[in-house]
Amino acid sequence: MYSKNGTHYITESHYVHGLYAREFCLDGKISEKVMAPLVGLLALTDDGWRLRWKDVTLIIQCGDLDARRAAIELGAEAGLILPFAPEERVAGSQPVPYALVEGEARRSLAPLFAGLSQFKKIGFERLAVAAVPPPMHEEEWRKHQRPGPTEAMRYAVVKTYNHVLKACAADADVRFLDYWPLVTKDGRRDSRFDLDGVHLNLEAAALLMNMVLG
Amino acid sequence: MRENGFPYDGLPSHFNWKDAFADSAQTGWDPQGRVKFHLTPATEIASAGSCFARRIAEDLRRFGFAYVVEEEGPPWLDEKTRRAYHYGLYTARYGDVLTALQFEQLLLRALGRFTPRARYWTSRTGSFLDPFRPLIQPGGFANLDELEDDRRAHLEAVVRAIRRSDVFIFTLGLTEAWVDREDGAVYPVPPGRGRGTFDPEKVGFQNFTAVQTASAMERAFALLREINPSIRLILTVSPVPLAATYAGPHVLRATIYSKSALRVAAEIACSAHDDVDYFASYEIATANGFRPPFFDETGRSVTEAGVASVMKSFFLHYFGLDREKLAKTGEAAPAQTETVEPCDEDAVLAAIEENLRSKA
Repeated sequence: MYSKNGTHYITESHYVHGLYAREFCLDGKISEKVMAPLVGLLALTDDGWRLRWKDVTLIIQCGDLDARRAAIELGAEAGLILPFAPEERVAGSQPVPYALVEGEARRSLAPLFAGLSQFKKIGFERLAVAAVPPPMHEEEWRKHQRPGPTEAMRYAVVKTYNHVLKACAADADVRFLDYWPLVTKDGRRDSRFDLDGVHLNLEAAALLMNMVLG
Repeated sequence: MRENGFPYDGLPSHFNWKDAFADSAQTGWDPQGRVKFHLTPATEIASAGSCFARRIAEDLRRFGFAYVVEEEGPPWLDEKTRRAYHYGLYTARYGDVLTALQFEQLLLRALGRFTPRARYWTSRTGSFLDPFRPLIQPGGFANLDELEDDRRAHLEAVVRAIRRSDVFIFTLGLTEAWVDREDGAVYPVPPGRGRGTFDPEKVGFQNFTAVQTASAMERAFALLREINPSIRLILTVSPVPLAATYAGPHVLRATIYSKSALRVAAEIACSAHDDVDYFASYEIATANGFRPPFFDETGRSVTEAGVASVMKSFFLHYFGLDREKLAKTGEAAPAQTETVEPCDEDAVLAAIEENLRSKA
């Protein structure tokens, strides 16, 4: 339950673990991992699944899983500088044009937007995509991952992903919730909204809800 | 002094038109003759020039020779995108370098001695283009910072490439060019029609003479040598006719003038230096005119047969290798690709056609 200005909203959130955007919808079929928690909202008709109620807002909050994978893949070659990366431009470094990283990001996000298109057909009229949150702390990254892309590179990829998400959302007529400026400070994750070095806390979720309710 | 002596006595048979022509009927024209130096498959070769230079680069890479590429692009790019962004089309991502003066200025820019007034052109969508390589970035750069960052890295790559190369092949393409009136910067294509704005007060036309081209080539060679004192230069002249002339009076006459001036300039440079050689790709491809089998039906595109004939001579004379045998053992070589990326001159043609369409 979330309340604002005396109005109460029923909220439900589901964490879909380990699902890449590129797996969100394949061959026009939304992943079971995504559909399973939504079944209670849906009715099976002769035309397939339909949304039972009109006033449901579905927010897809992308994690940085795709961006993490992209940071490993895109930044595998030493000396590449991705867009938004603040690294010093040293001799021999090769900047990668934004358009190329954007192309890669669009390819990996395409199944997500294919899935959102399917949700529209099911009856979801209020769809939103929230920005990818700031990447995990460097020390957490080191705990979970082998040495790989620097924190700066991971931030660079997430920023690119958010740019692309925003553009894709506009193309798909889906609302984009850009709460990045609210949960970052000096370009990095704001510690006030940090839960465990990896996830954002409930205060961050409340900021997102405020954005949804406008 | 010999009695009954005559200076033409004892010359090779191909010095004589009748014999050379008869030979050409059997094996095709191969007018290269003696080369000044030989190469090995380990020789590191860089190149730049007009669009035809891409074909030479492709062939060297196809057969696994040590073609220097300093801007390969990100490793995760697919081949089509890589080529569309001009990664690996040439040694560096400089696009077509059509005139000797443009080449000289490229080297001056790489050495930090020339910073042209024109930093960027804008496209119709508001993106940013590099005036000196306007086609290398489809859609343009997202912002000026990105463009300048890329240019910095590009010019560094040019210097690195020259430092590590044993030989540089430069293909002279044009004498006609558009030049900034203020600082003399030479553009590969004129600004305008979606690539900056054409202002005749700021940009003027120039048709370089053989002497101007030879002088620019001489200065360019000096700059190459300054970066790499042991580098050697092979000059070629593109056999591809002009896409369009501004000088007139007719595109064929302008083509013949241009190629003649370039050929003279190449000969002057070649005569002046032991480490500068001329490779006769122009003569091989055009011996039968701009017609099949070495040109396609448009008379502008050199066919695979034409490229094969040119490169057969190159491999034979510089490497002592038979290209046909290389082809047979080329399984491990990169897949054969076709040049489909538009050349800078094609962009001029497209701009002209756009105007014609708008009037229709």
